Amino acid sequence: MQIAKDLDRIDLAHVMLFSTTGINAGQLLNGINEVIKGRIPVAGGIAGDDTRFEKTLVGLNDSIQSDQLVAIGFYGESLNVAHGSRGGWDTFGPERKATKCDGNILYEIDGKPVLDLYKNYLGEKANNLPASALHFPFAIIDKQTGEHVVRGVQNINEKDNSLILFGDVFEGDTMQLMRANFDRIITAAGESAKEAFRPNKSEPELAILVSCVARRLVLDQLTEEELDEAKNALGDKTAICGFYSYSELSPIVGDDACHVHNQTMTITTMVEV
Amino acid sequence: MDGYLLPDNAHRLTRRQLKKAFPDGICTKYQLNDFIELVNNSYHYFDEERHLNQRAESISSRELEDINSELFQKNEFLDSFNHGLAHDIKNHSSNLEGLVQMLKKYSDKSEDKKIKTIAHKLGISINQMNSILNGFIYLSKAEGRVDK
Repeated sequence: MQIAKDLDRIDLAHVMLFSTTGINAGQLLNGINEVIKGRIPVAGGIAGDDTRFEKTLVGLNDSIQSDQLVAIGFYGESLNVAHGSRGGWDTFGPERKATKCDGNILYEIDGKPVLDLYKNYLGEKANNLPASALHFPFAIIDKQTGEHVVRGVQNINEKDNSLILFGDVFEGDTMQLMRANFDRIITAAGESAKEAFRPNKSEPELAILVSCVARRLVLDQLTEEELDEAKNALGDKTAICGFYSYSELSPIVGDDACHVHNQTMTITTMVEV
Repeated sequence: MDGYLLPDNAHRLTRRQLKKAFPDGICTKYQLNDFIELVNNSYHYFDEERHLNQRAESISSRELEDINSELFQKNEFLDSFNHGLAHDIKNHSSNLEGLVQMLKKYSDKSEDKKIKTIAHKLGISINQMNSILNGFIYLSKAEGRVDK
């Protein structure tokens, strides 16, 4: 919240936010959204470390640390910023109900320990938890709209059979497992780029691509395909940079407040007009 | 050494692997080994993916089967419950119908207007209840749930 207050000036146009893991991104955004109130777009991501889940780093000039949050404010009226965020994962299997959870810790679904369910699905790959959980994120389904948000698994706790998710979950939430759909994951990167291209009208000068490590994990040798899809949609004049993340931050269409996304390709484009 | 011929329907993974192993479009023996390794790795990778997906498929379909059979049992219980309930109510309403007919006979002989009105209204109510009940039994039959 303090960060948002420090950055907030009349000509603030955009905020990029980069953080290491270990900071509850949902709570962080709640604080920032409270100050900014959707007036200014906020986007960025949570750093990844391949799929090691050991230590993530965020740097600003000389200070590179494993427990750091960096927020960069962009100022001026001539800056146009736009966003796109798409996943491309498919839901499968039965819908389930979160029956015991606390913040971003999920203990039980349908009255059964959730870690057992995960291990059952992963088989021998359960030895690679939490990295292998990236294969099966959860969809949290809004029953009224039919829309869903994707929540990945950040870590596991063998002691109490729980999963630590990348965002909060509430008792009674409807959840469904998801799995990779190669073609849709690749085309989703292009759709994300198109979404981030359109509102700018002219070709963006810079695109910041934040892609979830899970996408790299499942795309394997096809990883560069999603990059090519995004590049094709953005055009040759756009300078592209980015990183593989554990969570992506971006507003969604129809809601200006910043949200936590998982397993997506999230793109921020900028152009001066 | 030699160039390679790319088939028209080349898979995007093939294109990518060829580009990675032979960036100049020319095969050397050394680069061929790179290519073989890439292809071999992807076979293994897709095997793993297939196994994981097959496992997920069979577990989730078993889960869905369990939920389905649970629903089936609940449905059967509801069917027999409806069946029993409809017959119980039907018995009592037939009784009531008879009793109201008797009441009407006596009230016809009576001088008391109030008793006549009450008996008349009771008759109407019972008829309405019966037609609702018959409708319900008819619908249940149509659904193949209540056999009589």
